[in-house]
Amino acid sequence: MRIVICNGTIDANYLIETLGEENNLTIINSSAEVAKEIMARHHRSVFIGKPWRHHILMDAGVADADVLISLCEKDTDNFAVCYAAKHIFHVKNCICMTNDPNNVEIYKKLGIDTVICSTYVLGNSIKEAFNVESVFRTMTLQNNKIAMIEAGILSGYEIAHKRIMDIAFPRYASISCIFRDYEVIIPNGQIVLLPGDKLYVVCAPKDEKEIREWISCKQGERGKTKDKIEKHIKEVKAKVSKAKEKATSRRSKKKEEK
Amino acid sequence: MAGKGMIVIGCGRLGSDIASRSSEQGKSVTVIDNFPESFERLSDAFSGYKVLGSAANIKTLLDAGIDKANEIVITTGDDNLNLFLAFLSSEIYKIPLVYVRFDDPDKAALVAGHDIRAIYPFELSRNKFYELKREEEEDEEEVE
Repeated sequence: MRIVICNGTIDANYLIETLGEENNLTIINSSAEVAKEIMARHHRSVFIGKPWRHHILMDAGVADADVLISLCEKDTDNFAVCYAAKHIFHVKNCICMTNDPNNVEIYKKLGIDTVICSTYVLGNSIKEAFNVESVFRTMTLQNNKIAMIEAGILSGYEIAHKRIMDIAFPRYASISCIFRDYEVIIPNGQIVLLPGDKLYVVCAPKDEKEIREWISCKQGERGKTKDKIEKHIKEVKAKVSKAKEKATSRRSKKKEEK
Repeated sequence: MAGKGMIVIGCGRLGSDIASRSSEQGKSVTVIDNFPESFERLSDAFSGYKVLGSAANIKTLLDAGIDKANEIVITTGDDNLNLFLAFLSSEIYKIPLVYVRFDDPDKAALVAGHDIRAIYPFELSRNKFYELKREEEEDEEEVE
């Protein structure tokens, strides 16, 4: 792939190291000092100049490159680089770094292919980690023969605000009790699960992961994961049948040769 | 903040002049600048709003009422910021009248085909230079 790396310091060095071996890199940097360092460290040529200036992009030969990554300090500089690369030099995929998380959606709306903001990514991963990990706890009983999962219900979960009888809870697990407002509720089909509830679920340790995923499935995503799994199974089946066909044809060929 | 009015981003020589004149003509004007001392350039008759903050920050722009404006004049000293603000105003907030100043004439290729009215001081100065040159030559011809 032909990849263009614009500006950046430590991040640029890292990308050059990781992408350099298998790709054809073009490096542009507006700082002569950083350029010197890159040249010394990676033994590569660097175009010195502001990457948002069209003559610099032209001299560096970025036209029709596969990927351009813009690592300038200012968000708007990255926007200008990516916009010019996309619309004037027809680069296939432009990756724009931003500091301000608010810019991610706006830049995408304005036609930048990929916008990455480290704060945005960090925020989302913290959210996700909190959603999934911290609300689930598991203990095992009888030498790991029985697993007891403690699962907090969040408002975004598909099973929130639903009666237990309506949620088709997996048959290989059972809700043993619900903890709500410092009180224990023994579940029956009529009980509605509410955000903030804690479910205590008993299952076999081998099913624990699956049960966690089932409980934490977000609204509107249940079918999707099912579809994905079905699609995956179909693909695997197709591959297996292909392999079988090949094997049989090979065998028959060998027989013929014999 | 302001109702259907004009936003001027950057209160330098050009921005402050446009903001002052428009305010004097009775328009509802909001000026945005990073530095409080820039507002000193506004005329005494200026009766609009002043918003202190970076125009690169969407919150500052919303404070200034970018979602309600019907005219915006972008005159910061940073061409790339101006480019972004012009697209934001025209494409996302659908402001009918977007004026923007670019020092780099290359930016013309980027805004071409969009409903953005661009001003290039370089082109204006060059045209003025050749106009003066022509006048001079005509004067010389007349003398001869």
